[in-house]
Amino acid sequence: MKKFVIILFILIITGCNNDYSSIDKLSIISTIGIDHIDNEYLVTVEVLNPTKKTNKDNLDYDIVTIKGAGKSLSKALDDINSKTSNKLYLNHLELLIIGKDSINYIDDIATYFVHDNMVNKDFYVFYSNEKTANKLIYHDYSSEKNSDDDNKTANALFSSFVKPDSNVLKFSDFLEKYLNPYIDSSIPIMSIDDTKTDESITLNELFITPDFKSTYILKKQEAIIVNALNNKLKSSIYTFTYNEDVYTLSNTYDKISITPDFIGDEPYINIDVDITSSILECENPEIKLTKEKIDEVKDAFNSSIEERISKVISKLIAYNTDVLGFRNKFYNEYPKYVETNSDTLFSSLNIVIDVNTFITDFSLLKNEDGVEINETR
Amino acid sequence: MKKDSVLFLINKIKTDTNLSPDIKYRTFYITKKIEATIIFCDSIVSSNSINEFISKSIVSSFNSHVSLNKNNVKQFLSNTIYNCSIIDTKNYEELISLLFSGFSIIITDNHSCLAFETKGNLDRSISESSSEITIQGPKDSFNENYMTNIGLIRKRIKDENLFLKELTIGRSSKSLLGILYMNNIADYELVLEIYEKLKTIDIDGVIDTGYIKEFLSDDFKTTFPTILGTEKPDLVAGALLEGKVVIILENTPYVLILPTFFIDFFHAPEDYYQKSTNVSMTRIIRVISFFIAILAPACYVALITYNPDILPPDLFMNFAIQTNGVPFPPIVEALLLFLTFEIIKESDTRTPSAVGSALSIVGALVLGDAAVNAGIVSPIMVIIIAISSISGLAFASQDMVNSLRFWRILFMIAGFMFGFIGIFILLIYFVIRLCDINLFKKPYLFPFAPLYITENKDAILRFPRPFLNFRTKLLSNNTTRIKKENNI
Repeated sequence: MKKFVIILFILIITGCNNDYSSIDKLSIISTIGIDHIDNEYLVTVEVLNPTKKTNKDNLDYDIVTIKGAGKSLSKALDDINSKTSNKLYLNHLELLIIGKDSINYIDDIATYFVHDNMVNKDFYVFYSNEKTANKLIYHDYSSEKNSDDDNKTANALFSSFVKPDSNVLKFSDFLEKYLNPYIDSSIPIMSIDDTKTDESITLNELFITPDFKSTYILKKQEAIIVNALNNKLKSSIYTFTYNEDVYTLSNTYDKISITPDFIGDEPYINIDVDITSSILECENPEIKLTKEKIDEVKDAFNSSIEERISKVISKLIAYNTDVLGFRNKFYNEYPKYVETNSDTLFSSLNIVIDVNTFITDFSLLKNEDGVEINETR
Repeated sequence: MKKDSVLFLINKIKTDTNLSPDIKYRTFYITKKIEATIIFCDSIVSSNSINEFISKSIVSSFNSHVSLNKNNVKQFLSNTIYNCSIIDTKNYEELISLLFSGFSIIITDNHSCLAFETKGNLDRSISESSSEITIQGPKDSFNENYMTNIGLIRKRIKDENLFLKELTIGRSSKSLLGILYMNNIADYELVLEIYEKLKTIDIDGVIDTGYIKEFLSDDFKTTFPTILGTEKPDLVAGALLEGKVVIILENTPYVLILPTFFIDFFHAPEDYYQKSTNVSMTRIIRVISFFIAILAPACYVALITYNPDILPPDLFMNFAIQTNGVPFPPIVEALLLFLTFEIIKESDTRTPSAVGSALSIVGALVLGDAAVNAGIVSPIMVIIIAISSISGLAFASQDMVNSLRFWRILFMIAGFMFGFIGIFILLIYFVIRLCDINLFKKPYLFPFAPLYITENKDAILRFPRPFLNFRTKLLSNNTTRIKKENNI
């Protein structure tokens, strides 16, 4: 009995029982939007209130949007808490939208979400460079495809994930890069076209920043290259012109390796890209591809890809934003060199790019004998 | 015994039994000069036996024994009356005991007091066990007749090494108790220890083996059964061949097997009549059932009160929707449902089978559905309690089922008070308690704690028969089960 009392006492005084909150007494936050306006955080949350409809088959939840303001994030959330009778519950958070003015306060935001153990780290993060997060949450999404006819922001956004060029980022992945001094952060940009009623959400662009003070935006094609080099994109649609013929290809990125090296004292980054492509469309379907012609198209395609990669990397170097983690790759191989040259390393890097393409499907294009072309690796 | 002393004895019996109307006294003459009195308890004797074998024998030889005198009347009665069980007694206590055991006592005016067995048949016939149902294997079960029960075992083990030790237990009940063991297999020290323990029991009456269970058990605190009670003679025969000791008590069909280990409650007699692979699977299911029975409601309560974060989002929302609108905290909800289930179970046990099915329908369907519709409990809680309770019924031993019920409540409270931390702490305590139990110096958690790897061939998994060459050393020095030339 004495032992039992001691165990009970230990459990109670160590606070093991102070997290009691019944599941039906929770305000389940699905989406949280953070803006910083007039030296105050404006936090907008989308709360799911489970409701039991009279019809048994129609079990559902009500969506309530609540906003609160405060000097700190926790005070803003306390303000929201005072407006709802239930306890705020962030453990099943699905979406964080960082508003256009609050990106400079990313340290505070990241710290809050990292330190609060009642928040999971598996939600998606998006940045809005045009509108406030508040506006994005209050937007009517009910007409969005596959959003189950509800107005839940997360559902609307998840339905946009299926688009081939959408950029997505989980908070845990963001944190990994955010906490690494040798990789710069990138956050997908969420934008809404108010003129469209359907499929108004686009997630094509990428927000990049070396320090969250200077900020840059990568456009759709650039974002594709960055995602592909970061092994986050397995396939994409690519268009290029050769001999005035426009080819549209579907690329599958088989292997992308980025290896750091030194030639003499010069730091080099070797980028090897193996792509399997299939020609989806050619503006001139009557074209007859001889073996030499196929090789020429391949070489032209390789050069085109190499050129685009080179351009994107040049842009990143110009912005001094190492979102591809070149410094980190050097650090893994040559830590002492990076520690002494971390400021200048990225800008002084020499880049060697080698792209190898294998075209498997030539669509309806024919060879010189008028027979459809089939190639196997 | 003179005539006045016979009268004195009869009067003493009458006084001691408060002139009990079912005790009959009949005086008759064996010869013209020799008088005798027959005393019997009418409620437990067969009057047919008395008429056919005692009265008829004496009357038919009334004229043939002219030479009979007071000195040889006892010999005459023993030879004349057709009865194989005759006891010559001079002890009054024994006389009374025999009288109430179905014997007819004949008191002559000599120093003779003979008891003839004339027991009436008060026992039911051998029937199928209602509490331990088997699909495959022998169906017969013990009944209330002591000798029948021993016979059912002897029928299965026709070996001279099956030894029986008897003693009488209970000051008033004077119940006959038998200790059965295989002399060439069982540990004799264990038999002696059990015998000595039983001998020290000084109790007014022993109605069922349940009375002596707690005298034999070393650990009174544990809720888990430490002695297995069974109605199945095939299970008992199997246990005897393992080197275990069996206790049979008259007037009860429940036979005790000891020592019993925790894992024995996960075994069923038919486990040995089926293919080993299938049996292993069934046993794994029983182990899973055990954990579901004690942990499922506790885990659910902990999940929805402390740790909803570990639920996948869809399941979390589903739980949140289902529990919405229920006015009670989950623990109250669980206890309410649990109490309802136990009441239904208890009522179902006590009611006649004809009413039982109606009760089940009212209890399970009407009450459950109505409670959910009324918003008193959530549908998921109904599912959890139902799964947990059904899992608990996977065990034949009622003691085990009751013990699971006790621990289920404890785990629920721990889950409600401290979430998964509370459940894990209680689980550790639970395992420690199980490890702490010893019965006749044998570890209860054998063969897991302490771990005997070779003995695990017939624990949770059951290896095929040809691989089970040896008995456990813990119970027997004669460990060879299958002779070497037949070994695989």
